[in-house]
Formats: sequence, structure tokens, C-alpha cells
Amino acid sequence: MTIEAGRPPGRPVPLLELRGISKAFGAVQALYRVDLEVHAGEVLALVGDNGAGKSTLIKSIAGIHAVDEGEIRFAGRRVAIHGPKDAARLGIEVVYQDLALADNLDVVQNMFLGREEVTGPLRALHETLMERRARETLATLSVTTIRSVRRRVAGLSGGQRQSVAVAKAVMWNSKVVLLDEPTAALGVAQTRQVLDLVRRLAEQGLGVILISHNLHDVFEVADRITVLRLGQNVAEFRTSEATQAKVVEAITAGALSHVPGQQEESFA
Amino acid sequence: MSDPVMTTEPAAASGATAAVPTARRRQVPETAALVVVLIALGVFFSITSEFFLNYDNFVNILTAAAVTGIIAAPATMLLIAGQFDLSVGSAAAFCGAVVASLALHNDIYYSVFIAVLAGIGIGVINGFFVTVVGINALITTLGTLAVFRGLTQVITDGQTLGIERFGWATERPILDIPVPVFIFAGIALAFWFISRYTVFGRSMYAIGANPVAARLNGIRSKRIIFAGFVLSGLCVAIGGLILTSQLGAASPQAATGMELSVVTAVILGGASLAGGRGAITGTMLGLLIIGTLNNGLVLLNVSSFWQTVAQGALLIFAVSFDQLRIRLTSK
Repeated sequence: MTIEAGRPPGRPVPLLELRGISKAFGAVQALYRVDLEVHAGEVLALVGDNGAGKSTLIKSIAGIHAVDEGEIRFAGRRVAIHGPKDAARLGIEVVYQDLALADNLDVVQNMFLGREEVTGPLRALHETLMERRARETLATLSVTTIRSVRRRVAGLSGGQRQSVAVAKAVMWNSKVVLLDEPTAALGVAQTRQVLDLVRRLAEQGLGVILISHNLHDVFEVADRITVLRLGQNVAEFRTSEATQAKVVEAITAGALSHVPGQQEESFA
Repeated sequence: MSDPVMTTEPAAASGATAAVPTARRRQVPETAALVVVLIALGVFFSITSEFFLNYDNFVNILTAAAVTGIIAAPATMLLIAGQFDLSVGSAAAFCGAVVASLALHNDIYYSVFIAVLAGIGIGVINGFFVTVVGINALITTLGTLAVFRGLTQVITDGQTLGIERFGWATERPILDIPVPVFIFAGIALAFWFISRYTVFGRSMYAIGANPVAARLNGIRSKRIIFAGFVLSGLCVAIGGLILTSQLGAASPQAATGMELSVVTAVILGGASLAGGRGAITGTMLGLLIIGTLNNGLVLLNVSSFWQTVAQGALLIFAVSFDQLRIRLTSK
């Protein structure tokens, strides 16, 4: 259960490794010395109650929030991530809870948003190239539910939107994909689609971090489960050895190494 | 400029056979509605006035619409990104006052240069307060609207300031069409290209539709909005110079109410107050509708007071139409 013991010899270097990440928003300690690692071809589930710090952690990895303390290692190398573009350059992609899609743009335009291909002296958008690559990516992921890549995403179903968001994330030779509650707003069939997609990402050799409230989903796709509670690591399981009851117990009552408020008191 | 257009169009048609019809089906009716309104107005005025249907009058309509159009092009981009610039009328008058007052004692090119810088400067001020300080664009530009109208009166001392040998905008080099119409066409074309075929334009659509998504995708929203205001300032300066040239003088009351005409054209053209939608072609059609309406009312000897009423009514109509559209499409 502990991951402080050091890496056993022969175990490969994790693709993405976080060590002692802390982040505070004013007086609120959102993350406190969080450790995390994900390997290539693995799905790691990050679970925890509301306010456990899951989304903050994701945003820290993505470069949206600057961390106060701790280090991020990518393929064994220490890296500094100051913004979404830094993360993208490393091959870290995030699929956000709110999908981060612009409804007025079509599938291709969304998949390339912020990273459009341009051509010619006027740096005009290279629509043909972008469209082709979008189609190829969707095909690689066996996404067959989107019939037209020139449809505005406003007209897509929740599952289709999520597929676009995932495809958008893996288009960039990404190595690590972080998914924030990908099935939260989906129906049964659509959840199925997205979970299959998540599994396929890992099969293609990506490291996948999946945030979810839904333990059923987690047990279905994850290889390992890390539990956050009040911004701290409280437990880690191999899915094959864990039970839902144990995970729920960790989520709601996992032992904290640091009691919130303690630090402030010691200063007072 | 035609090259990228040529390469994308056929590919989009052949590559996304299923997609193109759906996209067209959605866009055509909107623009088509505007074209229908424009034709209907044309037919109406052709019947009611013998002076309407001729070449000279068409040139008149375009000439009257030119300055508004030059300013409406960047305003469309700003509204697509969810931003307003209400200071355009005051800023145009200010640039006119700057050139006229400087030209009294200086070289004309130098004066024009400073006036253009003044326009860009106003854009920088608007952009600074909106993006860096974080004040709502409506409030910021309402403030600069008052500030620069006041400064214009300070510079001109409340009097109309004549300017010598500055009649370039009244010249008609080709086909009896005056210079401002050509400038208008050039600027409209440039902004049409920017909005449709550049990363900058695409980013503005994304910012207007979903600012959070834009940020998460690494779009530097503030920088882009800032640039939008600066472009608006530049075009406003050009507009102000044209107005000054046409009048042969800088009037402290020049371009009063310009913001109303601009916003009306942009909204009528299909841009949404909520941001995220709109197009240069739509704005241009909106502009022609307003221009034709004004022109026709003049030809029918309707008092200019009523034109103001018509314009205000048109704005409310356009916004209501926008609301209706939002309600229908959100279903």
C-alpha cells in the first residue's frame, strides 16, 4: 500500500511521476504532498470524494495551476510545466470534465483548437490537412459514431462529444492522457463507448489517468487505483486485488498523514 | 489571397460529403434572409421612388455605408469574441480633430500619421482596460466614448476645424466610385479572410463561444482580444480621416451615434450578443440593408429624424431576431 518504499529493481521508469505535489489556494490546502505515477499501457484511476483535489491535481499536471511544491518527472526527467502548451509539448493531454469544446465550431475545428495547421505565406488555416488528420485519428480509435467531422459539436450527443474530446487529446502523439470524469454525464451505451475508448488508449501504449466518481467504471477499466482524500494520498490498490468496499472506505475515511488546520495552528 | 480558398473549398466538398450539406443547410437560410430583405427593400424603393434604381444612387449607398463598414468589420470580429467597442464614433471624431488641428501648422503626412497613431492608441487604451484591468468592454468603451468626445471638443474648441488640400476621399478614380468605397472593400475583404482562414479568427470564435475552453486549449485570449481592440482603433482612425476629408473639416460632432449604426449592422448580420457567432459577409449585408433603408427614406423625403427612429427600431428588431434564433437553435 505504501509507495514511499522506492522502486523495486527491474520495474520500468514511470512515464509520468509526481512527487510531493502541494498546492494551496489562499488558506485552502487543495493538495498536500501528493505522489502519483503512471506507466505506459496502464490505466490509473484517481478517485476521491468531492473536494479531494482530483481536478486540482489534473490542472497542475496540465499547467493550468502552478504547483507550490514538489516535482513532476516525465520519463524519468524532471520537467517544469508552466502552461497547457508545455504539457502538450511533453505529450501530456487532458480531457476536461466540461469537455473544453467550443459549440460553435465543428469537429475538426475543435480537435485542432489552439494548434491549427497553417499553410502559405498568409498563414491560412490548412483545412484539408486538419480534416484528414482528424478523420485518421477517429479511425485509429475506432470511433464510428461520428459520421461527419464537419458537424458542429453543439449537435453531437454526450458520448460523441466525449469521443471528440478524447480523439483531440490523442492526436498529438501524446503519451499520457488525463481524463476528468469522462462518463459523468453519459447514458449507459455512451458510457460503454467511452470506457472501450479508454481501454484502447492503454492498449496503444499510452499512460491513462482516469478520474471518476463511478467505482463501477473504475473497476472495469483501471489497472491501479489511487485514492485522494482532502488533498492527500490515502491509499493505492491494484484493481485485481481490491474490492469496492475497501476503496469506498479509503475515499470516506482513509487515514490522513496531515490533519487540515494543524499547520495553521502551529504557526499561530 | 484566393489560393487558400481555392484549395480548401473543393477538398471540403469532396472530403466531407456528408458534412457539407448539413453545414450549408444551417448557414444558407440566415444569409438568404438578409438577401431577401435587401431585395425587398430595393424593390419597394424602386417602385416608390423614381430616383432609386440607378448606378449613381447605388454608388451613393455604398459611399454612405463606407465609413460605417470600415469600422463594422473589426467590430464584427470583436463581437464574435464577445466584446464591444462603443467608442468608435468618438474615436473617429477625435482622429479627425487630431489631423485637422495638426495640419494647421504641420506637414499633412505627419498629421495623418499622428492621427492613425491616435486611433491605435485608443484601441490600446480600450484593450488595456478590458484585458489587463479586466473591466467589462461595454463599460470601458462607454467611458472612452465620453472621454474622446470631450477631448475632441477640447481640441477643436467646440468649433468646426477646416482642413486645406485634404480632399482625397472625395476623388473618384475608377467607374465614378469614390476612394472610401475601395478602402471599405479592401478592409472588408481583409477581415473576411482573417475571420475565416486564420488562427486569429478561429480563436476569436472559440473565445466568444466558450472562454474556458479557449483557455484550456492554450489560446491566449487576452492577447487576442487586445489585438482586436487595436485593429478596431486602426480602422476607426481610417474612418475618421475619411470623414474629415469628405467634410473638408473636423467637426466636434462628427460620427455621433456611429456606434449605433455599427452595432445594428453587426447584429443584423447575424452576430450574437452572446458571442461566438457572426460573419463579415453577414455584417456587410446588414450594412447594405441599413444603407438602402436610409437612402430610400431620404429619396422619399422622409425627415432625417425618422431615420434615427428607423435605425433604433431596426436594432431592436435585429436583437429580437437574435434572441429568437438562440431559442430555436438551443432546442
